[in-house]
Amino acid sequence: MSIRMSFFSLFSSRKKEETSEQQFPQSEVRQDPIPAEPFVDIDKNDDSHDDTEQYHDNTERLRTRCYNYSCQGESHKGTDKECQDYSCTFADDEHGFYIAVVCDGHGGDTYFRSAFGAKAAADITVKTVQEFVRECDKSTFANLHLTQVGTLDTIDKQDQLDIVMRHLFATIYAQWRQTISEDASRPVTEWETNNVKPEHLQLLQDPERIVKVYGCTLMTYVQTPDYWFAFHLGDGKCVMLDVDMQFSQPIPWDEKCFLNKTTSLCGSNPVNDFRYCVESDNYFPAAIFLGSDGLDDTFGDGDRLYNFYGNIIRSIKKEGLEAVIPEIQSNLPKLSKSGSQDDMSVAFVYNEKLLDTMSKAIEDRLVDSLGVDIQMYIKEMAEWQQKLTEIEQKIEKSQKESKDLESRKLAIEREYQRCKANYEKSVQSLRYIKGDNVKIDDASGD
Amino acid sequence: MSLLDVEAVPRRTMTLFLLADVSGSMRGSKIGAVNDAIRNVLPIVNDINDSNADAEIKIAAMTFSSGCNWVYNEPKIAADFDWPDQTAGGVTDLGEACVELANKLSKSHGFMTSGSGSFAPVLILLSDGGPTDDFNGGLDKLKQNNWYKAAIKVAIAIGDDADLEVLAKFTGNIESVIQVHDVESLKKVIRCVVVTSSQVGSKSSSTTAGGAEPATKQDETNKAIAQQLQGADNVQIGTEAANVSMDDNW
Repeated sequence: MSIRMSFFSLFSSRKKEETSEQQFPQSEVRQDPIPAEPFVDIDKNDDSHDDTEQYHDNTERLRTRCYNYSCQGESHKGTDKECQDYSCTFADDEHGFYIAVVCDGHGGDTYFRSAFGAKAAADITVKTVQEFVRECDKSTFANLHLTQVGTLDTIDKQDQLDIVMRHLFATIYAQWRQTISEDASRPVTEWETNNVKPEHLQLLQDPERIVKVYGCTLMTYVQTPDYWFAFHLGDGKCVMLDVDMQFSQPIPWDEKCFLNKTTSLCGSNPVNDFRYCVESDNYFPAAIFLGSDGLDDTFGDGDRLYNFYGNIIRSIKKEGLEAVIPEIQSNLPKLSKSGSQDDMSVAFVYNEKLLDTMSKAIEDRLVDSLGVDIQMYIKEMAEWQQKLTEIEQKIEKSQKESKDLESRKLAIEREYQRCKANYEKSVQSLRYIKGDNVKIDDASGD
Repeated sequence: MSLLDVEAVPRRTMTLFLLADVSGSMRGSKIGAVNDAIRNVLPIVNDINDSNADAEIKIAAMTFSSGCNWVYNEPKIAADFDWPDQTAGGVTDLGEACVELANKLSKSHGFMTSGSGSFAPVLILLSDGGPTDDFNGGLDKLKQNNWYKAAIKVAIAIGDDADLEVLAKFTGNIESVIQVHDVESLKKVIRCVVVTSSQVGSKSSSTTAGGAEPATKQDETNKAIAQQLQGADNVQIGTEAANVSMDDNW
């Protein structure tokens, strides 16, 4: 049974409502229709490897490029647990249509098939989003400034846009449920037999709790010629680099994602927990980065993370994407080892044309950042220098005191020897007078 | 060229909060033992910090009696933390301490950094009596704090007069309350609790979805502490403390 839903009727009704109220700038609307035929197939990851990557080139006309890479976390190498992250990108250069997805399988004891859950979620999302965009009336997203929407429980009143977006999320979720339900009948693997507790394996038999086996997050960026949107369920970070060379996180954060807890496709009501942002208004990000929590647990979610992404962009500008790809592939596992130890995924989409105008701003930002670091190090060095001086002064004082004590010791020893000589002389005199048997209290200390 | 050229990878931060009752009833050997034990455990925490690739352990300490005070106005690593000798006096404003703790369990105006760069904090409460102010009001505020919800919480009840019910409310369960009855036990338990919670709290754990919680760090801490203190004289853990009374020897 197919549970794929059609978006057409929803979008049609929205168009009717809005066309009477809004004037769309036709000159800005790309007229090329998104074709009804299936888009280019997604490159499939090579299942024989833990690390996954794809990248897409495009024509000179659009100059939008995307790339993704996932690698096994350092902490998973010991148990040979496969990478639970999955990332993919999709590019249709002819129609200016791009998708990037990062899914992070939870990887804990109960989530022993979350790698499958993550891959299923990503693949389904790419396909469903294609259908969504194909059937969607462009006016649905027309003339929208950056619109940021949190989880359903943070919204006072659900508007048409939210209904449409949650319909998309519901479709993805329903297809994911169906896919994992089918997978649950797959025989238990040898690895699962050896590494998963029997009570957790039992979850596969319980239709209500199967989702716990496959739990994962989902983060997606979608760019069409007319609008872009991004949506997110769970942790990880979606970072946008805008044309003003500012980094930001366009999707509202969900406070339920805190420390090692996250919302998830295996949650009790995941459709409500999605957050998203939408923008048309002829504005596109210069670059969008989707990173799994392995990355922001390594860098934090502030300037360090932004600087890492800034460094990627700077390197791409300087040496080209092809030269940077091996760097990403070699550095992500290193980051996992020295940082969070977690699986790591990054997917990004960037517009070369916009970046061309930004290279100086990128340099300026890095220079500013390094300037701040240098000032911090100067301050720290001064503090350490002060401590060093204090210690040296203490040692000097201590050495002087030690020298004084040595002098005093020598003087005391001299006095002692003088006193002892006088004592022996006195004893000798007494014995001379009173005889050798005279009793003397020996206080010489010898 | 390396993408990491401009980025040093920092360790995540785990902040250990010590909340020490210094009210009048702590006078004498109790406050002396607390001073001694905390000072002696700091080098051990420093060693755990130095050998931990996952996390940097920082300490924040608050004393409370008639009001409350932070020993330092920011968390510090153990190597930089000098525990000043405390003197006892005043009443037990535990409610005010809870409110102040909630204020500092914050990224924007408190001691915490971002959730991404942190482990859940450890909260260790030491008290020998019962609160003299609005404890429930203070705790209610604290309970709304996400850091508090995620924290490993342990309470050390010093002597028979400690209000176990209050301490269990703070930790969320009686299993995380340890009662001691003499000076040596107090020193031993402080050392055990600080060391164990630092070790458990500063190591990585896997992500869980929503309320699913297979084996929490709190459980792990409770279990490890119980194991280490098994058979210890003048020490009672959890329900044992609530149901069995021992003679104090201070």
